[in-house]
Amino acid sequence: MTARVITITSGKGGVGKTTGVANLGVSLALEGKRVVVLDADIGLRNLDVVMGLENRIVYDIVDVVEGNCRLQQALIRDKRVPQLYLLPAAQTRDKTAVSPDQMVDLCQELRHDRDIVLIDSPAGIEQGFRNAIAGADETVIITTPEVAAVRDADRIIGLIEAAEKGTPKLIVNRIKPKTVRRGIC
Amino acid sequence: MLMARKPKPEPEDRISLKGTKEGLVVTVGEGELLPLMNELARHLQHKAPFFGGAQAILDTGPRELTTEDVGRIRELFSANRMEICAIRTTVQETAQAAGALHIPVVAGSTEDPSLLTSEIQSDHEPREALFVKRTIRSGQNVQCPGHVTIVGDVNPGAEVVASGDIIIWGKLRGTVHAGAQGDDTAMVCALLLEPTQLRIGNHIARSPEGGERDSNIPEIAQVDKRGIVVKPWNMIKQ
Repeated sequence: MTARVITITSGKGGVGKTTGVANLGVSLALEGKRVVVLDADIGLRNLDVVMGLENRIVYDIVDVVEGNCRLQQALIRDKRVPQLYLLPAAQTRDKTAVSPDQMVDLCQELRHDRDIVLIDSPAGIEQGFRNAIAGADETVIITTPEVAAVRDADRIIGLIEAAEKGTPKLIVNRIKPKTVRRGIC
Repeated sequence: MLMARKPKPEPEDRISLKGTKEGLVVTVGEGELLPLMNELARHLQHKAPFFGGAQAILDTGPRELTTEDVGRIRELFSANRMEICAIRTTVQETAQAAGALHIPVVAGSTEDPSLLTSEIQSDHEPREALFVKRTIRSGQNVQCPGHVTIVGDVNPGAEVVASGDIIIWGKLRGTVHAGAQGDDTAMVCALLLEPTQLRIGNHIARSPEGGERDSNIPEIAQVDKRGIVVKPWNMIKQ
């Protein structure tokens, strides 16, 4: 059995990608799924901090790709939830340390014996984003009810379609029920 | 007739020797390398009686230098009893040339993306010490095959790796690895020892869960039979 690889992305920063990945990862693991969350934001990693696993990092994604360690050595098991693992990003490197092809290979390796691989994408549309979607089967876009976030989400949808990753799913974060009721936005 | 040529920069503008917070910095400006080398030779010769024996940081800015160029510049320095302790550059080529000659590289200006991953590397003799006088921030990385002394803080997300001891005159909140070649006798000490992760030789430890500790005295971490142990930093009792 192989996992679904799902990338969470947004274009705009600060809309809740990392928080979304952490929450989705924990919820899916609590449902009994075997989950890996992968931080693709090399150089500005945060998923480890949000999940409270920062102090357990020994190896990271760049070490795996460069062959300094085995994949199993870099995966950090979250002790609070069964079957939840984090593959942290490197902090002292940048997005060019990993290529999209390497990400595809890495995702193939992560798929085995798991149900879900969630990838936390960096903001932006540059190599970090391309790396994050390279190995994905599906994508989820997070946006907030603000013009800039919606505009960036639209741009990202175009890029994902161009990359032939299918139609992305959408999460609207920080929705304001009052605004919705008034029909604005 | 109009002169189309740009005015030549004054020689004084192109080479400068300045004392800064980091120490003596020799800046090489723009222009052809060969005349600049001659100017540099003149400057060094002139200042040698004053700076003789000094270690200087060579700032080459965006200039691309080959290993050969860097070697020749280093010879100029040593001919005047001076030494290049580090090269500051904003380009990869020069950094690589410096690396090939085992000269530590300091990341250049703030426009330089490599500052995000700035590494201070020293590949001199083992057990040599590296002195760093600044805050090491998230994503920055100090590596040294000897001892490291840092005057400043090591923030979360920063990494200090040394094959010898690590002494931090400031707050240690990042990740450190002393005795990185497997030396369990190495130690780590800091005015405030609250590392994200602390490694000595082949041992690894994390700060206790639950955030802030009330201890705000300098502490020292060493390996004993129980693993990594943290004690108040009191060298007299040892």
